[in-house]
Amino acid sequence: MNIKNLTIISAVAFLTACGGGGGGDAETSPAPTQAVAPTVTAVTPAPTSTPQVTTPAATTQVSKTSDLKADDDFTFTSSYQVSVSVNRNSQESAYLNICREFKSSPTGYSVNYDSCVLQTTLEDGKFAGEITLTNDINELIVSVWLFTGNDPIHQVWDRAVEGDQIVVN
Amino acid sequence: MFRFFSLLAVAALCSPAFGSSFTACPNEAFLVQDQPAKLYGVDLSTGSYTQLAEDMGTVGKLNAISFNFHDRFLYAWDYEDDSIARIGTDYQVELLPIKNRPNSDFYVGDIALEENTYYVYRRGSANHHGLFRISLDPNSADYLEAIRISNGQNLRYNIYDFAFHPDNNLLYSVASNGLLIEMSPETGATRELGKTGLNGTFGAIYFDVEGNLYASRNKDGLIFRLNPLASDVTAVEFAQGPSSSNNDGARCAYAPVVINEASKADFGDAPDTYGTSLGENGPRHGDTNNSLFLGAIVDRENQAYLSPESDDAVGEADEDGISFVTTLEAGKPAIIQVQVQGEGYLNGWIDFNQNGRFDDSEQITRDQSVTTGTHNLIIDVPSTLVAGNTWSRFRLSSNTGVGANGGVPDGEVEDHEVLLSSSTDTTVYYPSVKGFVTLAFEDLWPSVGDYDMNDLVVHYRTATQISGDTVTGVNLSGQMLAIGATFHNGFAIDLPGVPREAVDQSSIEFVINGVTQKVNPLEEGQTNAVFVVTQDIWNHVSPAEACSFYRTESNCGDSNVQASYSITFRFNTPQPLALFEDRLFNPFIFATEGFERNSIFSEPPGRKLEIHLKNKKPTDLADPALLGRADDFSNPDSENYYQNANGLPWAVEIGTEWKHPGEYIDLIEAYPDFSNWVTSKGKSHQNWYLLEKAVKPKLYREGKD
Repeated sequence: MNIKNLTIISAVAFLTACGGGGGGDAETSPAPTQAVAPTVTAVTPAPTSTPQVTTPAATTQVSKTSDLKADDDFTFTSSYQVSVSVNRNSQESAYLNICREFKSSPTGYSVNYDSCVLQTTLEDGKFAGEITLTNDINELIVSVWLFTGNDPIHQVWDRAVEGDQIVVN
Repeated sequence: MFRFFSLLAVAALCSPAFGSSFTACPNEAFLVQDQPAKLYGVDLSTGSYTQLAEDMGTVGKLNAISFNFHDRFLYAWDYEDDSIARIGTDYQVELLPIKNRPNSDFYVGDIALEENTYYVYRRGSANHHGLFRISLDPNSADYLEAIRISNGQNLRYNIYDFAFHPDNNLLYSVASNGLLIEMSPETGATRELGKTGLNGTFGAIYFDVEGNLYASRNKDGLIFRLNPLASDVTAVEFAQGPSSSNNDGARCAYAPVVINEASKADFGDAPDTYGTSLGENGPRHGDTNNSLFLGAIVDRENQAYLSPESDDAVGEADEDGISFVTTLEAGKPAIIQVQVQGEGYLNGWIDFNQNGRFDDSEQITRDQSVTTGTHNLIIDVPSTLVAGNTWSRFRLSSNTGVGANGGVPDGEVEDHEVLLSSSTDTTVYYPSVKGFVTLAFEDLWPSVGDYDMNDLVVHYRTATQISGDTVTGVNLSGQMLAIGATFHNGFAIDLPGVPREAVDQSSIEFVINGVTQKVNPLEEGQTNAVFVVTQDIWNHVSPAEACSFYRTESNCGDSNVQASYSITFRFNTPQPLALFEDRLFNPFIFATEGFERNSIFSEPPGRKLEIHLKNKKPTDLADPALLGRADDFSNPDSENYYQNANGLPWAVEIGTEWKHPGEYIDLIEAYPDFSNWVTSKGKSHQNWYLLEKAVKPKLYREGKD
C-alpha cells in the first residue's frame, strides 16, 4: 500500500484549481428524446499540462476525477428501464426475444441470440413487463417465433422514435 | 526405460536424410489400398487422410505393409513380383528379392522393434503358408532369407494384419470374430486376451507409443482403440477413417498419436467428463478441405481447451454456429438456430439429466441433412430435466452416425453451456444472455481513493426467471477481471428485500472456474439473501510474472482472466417481481478477515467493512459505525451511502465489458467523457465508457509490447 499512498500524495500535490462543474440544480427525469439526441454544447478541453485558474466553471473540463462534484442521488450506474407490451391477435404458441445485436441484410435480419435481454413464451399472444438496458443501447430487435420452423417476425425498436416503451401488436 | 531409450534413438535419427528413408518416426499412419497400389497417409486422431502416391511404380498390389524403425523405410509384400517392396520418401517401390521365397503372397506383416526383421503370416497349407521371419539387416548372414517359424496349418486365426507392441516385442491382432490375439514371433504361439466387442475384417492394425492398439475396419473405415494389456480390452470407436476392401496399414509404433501442426483438428471445450480431450477420445474434426463448418468460421487446435478455458479464446472465436433462440424449459418445445457452411449431417446432444455425459437418450438431432444456410431446429425439452447449467454438443460432418466422441475427417464441433429451467415463462437478462456490465471498486474506503477505478474490476451479469408476477429463480455470474490493490477483498451480492429463507438451498449451484464449489454461498446471519462469491479474490487469481497486481499494470506480462463465477438458485416460494426491478441488485466488496487495511484501522476490520455502489445499503453484517469515518459522507437518515463530500462514489457500474484504466491512471484521463456525464447528471455522454470514447494508451493492455 505504500506505493499507492505515495501516489495519492503526489496526485494531491498536482491538484489544480480547475473548479468543479455543475451541481446544484434539482435533477429532472430525462425525456427519451433528450437522452437520444442530447444537444450538449461541445466542451473545449483545457490543456491538462497548463492549468488555468481563471476559466469560468461552465466551460471547464475537469481533469481529475477527485475534482468532480455529483448530486447526492446520482448513483454512477449505467442503466434505464423500458416497458414491453405485446398484444398479438393470435392464439398460436409463440416465443418472443428482444436482443441487442443484429444485422440487416437484403434477406432479412440476423440476430445474435447471445445478446438478448428478454426471452419469454407468449401466452395467448400477450406479454407485459420491463427490461433494463445499459445506457449505450438505443436500438433493439424484437423477434416473434412460432414453433413452425419458419423464420421469425422481426421488428426494430428505436429509442429516438418510440421512447422508453416497446409495443408489439 | 526401453521406450525412453527408443525415443532418444528417434531423436538421433532425425538427422538429415540419406538416400530416401524417412527422416523420423512419422506420426501419421500409412495405408496401402487398391491395385495398382496407392498409398495414403492417415491421421489416426481424426481419420482424415491424404493420398501420398497415385502411382507407386508397381502395377500389382502391395500388402503386409510395415514401417521399419531400424532404417526408416516402409516395407511391403509385392504381389506382382513375389518380392519385398522397400518404399522411401518418394513412395516408389524398390524390389528386394527373397531367398527361399515361400510360394505364397502375404497380407499380414510387421517389422519387429527389437530386431531388424520382417514377420509375415498366413493361415492355410502346411507347405506354402505359415509364419515366416525375413531379416532386413544387410549385415546379417540370413539377410532377405525367408525362414519358417510355424506352418500355416498350425495357425488358428483369421487375421488380416498384426502389429508389434512398442514395449514387449509381441504381436497383436484383432480376429474377425473380435477376439484380441497375442502372438509370439519366436514360436507363433498365440493367446486369446479377450473380446473386443467388435467384428469384421480389421485390415490395418497399429500401435502408438503409449501401447494403444488401433484397428481399422475395412467395411466402414471405423478406427477402434483399445489397450491390449489392460484387464478390459473392449474397444472404443476412435475415429472415422477411409474404408476399403483391400486395406493394409503401417505406422511407426514409437510415435504418439497426436494432433500435430500439419493436421490440426477442431476440438470441443466442454469439461472432460463429456469426453473432450484427445485422451478421453473427445470429438475431433480433421482438416481435409475446410469447406464444412458451423457458423462463419472454424479454427483447429493441437488439443482441446477444456472449460473454463474455451475454444473461442484460442485462435479465432469460432463457436459461432449455434444459437439458442429460446430458453430450455422442461416439457416445452425449444428452438435452436444452426448456421451451416457446406453440406453435411448434424448431430447434437444436451445433457438434460446433468450426469456429466451425453447419453444416447440425450441426442436431440441425429444425422440431420443440412446445407449452407440457417436452420431452425425445434426440439422437445424433456419434462424430467435437472434444472441448472449444463452442456450441449453439436457436430457437423460429411459422415453419418457420428457420436458425441471420436474423430472424423471433416466438419466442426461446438460445445455450448446452456441453462435448463423447470418452470419459467420469462427470463430477463442484465445486460444480456452472454454480455456483462462492469463493476469497478476503489478499496481505500472510508478514505478517498485514487480513482484509477481498478482496485477491483468485476464483470457482472444477472438473469431473473419470471413466472407471471413472481420471480422463481436467479442466476448471478461474471468474472474477476482485475485487481489493482494489495488489500484482500471478498465479493458478494445482496438481493435487497428478498428474504434469505426464500432461497431453496438445495437448488443452489455454485461454480467457480467451471468447478462446482462445496461451500454454500448463501451467507449466514443475514436477513436478506446475500451470496458470497469469494472471501478473498486473491485466492482465485495470481498476477502475471513480474507484476504486483492482477491485470492492471500494462506490459508486465500475460495474464488471462482466471476466475469466472456462477451462482444459480430457485426460490422455495416465488418472490414478488417488484423486489427485482433493479436488476443490478446490490453487489459489493468486503474486507477479508485477518488482513491489514488502511492505517485508520488499528486492527484488521474484516467482514464488517463493506464497500457498495453509491447509495446501496450495507448488509446486516456491515458495522454501521464505520459509516461516516474518514472521507465517507454516508448518511443513513437520507439514504445516502458510500459517497464522499463531493458526492463521489467508491464504486461505479459501467454498462459494458469495460476496458479499465491502467495502474494509477485517473478515470478521466482514460475516459474524458466521464467528466461530462457526471457534470450533466447523466443526461449527456451516457456512453462515456465505450472503447471508442477512450484514450487508448491510458488503458490496461494485456501482454507485453
